[in-house]
Amino acid sequence: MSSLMNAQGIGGLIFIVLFGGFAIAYFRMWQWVIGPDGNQGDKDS
Amino acid sequence: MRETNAEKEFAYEFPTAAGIRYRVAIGILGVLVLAGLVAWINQLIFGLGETGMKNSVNWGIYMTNFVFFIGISHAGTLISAVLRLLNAEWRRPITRVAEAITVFALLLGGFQLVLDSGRPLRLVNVFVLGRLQSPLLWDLASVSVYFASACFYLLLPLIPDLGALRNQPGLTQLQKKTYAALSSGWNNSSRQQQRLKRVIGIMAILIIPIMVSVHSVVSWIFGLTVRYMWHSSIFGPYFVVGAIFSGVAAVVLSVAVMRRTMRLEAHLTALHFNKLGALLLVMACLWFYFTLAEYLTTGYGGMTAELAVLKMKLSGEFALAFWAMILCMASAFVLLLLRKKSVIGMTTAASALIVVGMWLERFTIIVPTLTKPLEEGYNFGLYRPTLTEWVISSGSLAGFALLLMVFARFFPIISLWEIQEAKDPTRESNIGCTAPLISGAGELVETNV
Repeated sequence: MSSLMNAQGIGGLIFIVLFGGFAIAYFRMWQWVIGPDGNQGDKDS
Repeated sequence: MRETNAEKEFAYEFPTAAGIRYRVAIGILGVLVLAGLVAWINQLIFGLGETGMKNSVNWGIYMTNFVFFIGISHAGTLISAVLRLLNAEWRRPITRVAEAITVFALLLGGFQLVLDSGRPLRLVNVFVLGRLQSPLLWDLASVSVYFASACFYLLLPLIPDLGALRNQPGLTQLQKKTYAALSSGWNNSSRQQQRLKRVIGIMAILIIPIMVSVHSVVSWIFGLTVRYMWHSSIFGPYFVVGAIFSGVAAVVLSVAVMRRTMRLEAHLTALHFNKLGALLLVMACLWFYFTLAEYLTTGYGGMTAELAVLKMKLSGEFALAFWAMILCMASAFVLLLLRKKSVIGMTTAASALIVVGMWLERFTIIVPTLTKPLEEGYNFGLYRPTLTEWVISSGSLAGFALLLMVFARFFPIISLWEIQEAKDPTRESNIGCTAPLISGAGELVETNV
């Protein structure tokens, strides 16, 4: 545990995992919202 | 096209239609940003010696700006997410301003770290050499995640408005392409509407703990360091309260400016200022409570070294900044109490005082401690910001305002579908049921399609 706490370079890894994870999740959610849903004709017009 | 009364009620104009005031404001802000860029290039060439910082006092007004901007960024979360969860109807016209403030404040806040590092490439060291135990690493991670979340949280409620706007006449090619790209695939189907509401609900919940983590971690940069008047267990909540306080004040100021420059008087009414004023009053009480707790504990503790820092703030070198902060906050409190006399004017004036007061608070937290060495017998000297720092800081502030104004020019600054939803709640779903149109003069009107 101690060696993990002191390991240099862990910062980049944490950043990539955390930021990348959230970014991918948000992108997928955005795609899910505006993605095709087989309900193209249901416009409120 | 024949406008009905309801459509006229929704009409507002982009700043270009407001005329010369908008362009003059953009011009002034542009000059300030340019001056800031020149000063930054000068600092890059000649190094941090151009600033008043030194080996001992190595955090000055750039770090003050960083904490200040990160604080301002909490506006979006509170105004939009919390009020959305509480189903506060009055939030609707101001949510987008708050969400945009969050994104731009985070951008400018992050930029302060680049300034403070001297050579921007030094920031790479946080990634390459960063260790788990470093609060700087936690800070970078939480601020980055908050930025990604804030961008997404701004984009989500924009989708229906952009989807309705993208094919309307009067738009520039860039606007059309941007709107189409951001809302591509949006066809306003009932399933998409349900999905959008669901994701907005998830984000409104998710972004609150992220927001709290951000300013807690920012406070721990100081609180976890054994320095006089920094090593405090209440710094986390104290910073979060201050952040929300300054964030709401920034929203009031922005709303007041946009109300006048973009002719939004019909949407941004005295009701909104009154509600935001009440919120500010609550936050002011909390801020005074935390400030009193912090200073009383230090004063009664009687540790010689801590008292020296306290004395610097109360009657020494930083007394002017400290008492100016107290004066700003006390005056704002009185104005907020009496705001019924002139709700819009007094709430706006109080907000301006709060924003200034909160910047001074950040300054008086960060700098005095650094001027007091841990070991007796040393004299670190005082920190005086140089012209370079002031010009860059002014440029940063102007950059923030410029981004906000440009955003308001190219995107609907009021969430049109949410307003329509409030006006016609009997409909099964109102998302995108009105398509805003931009007339030739840049006027935005709505019509049912």
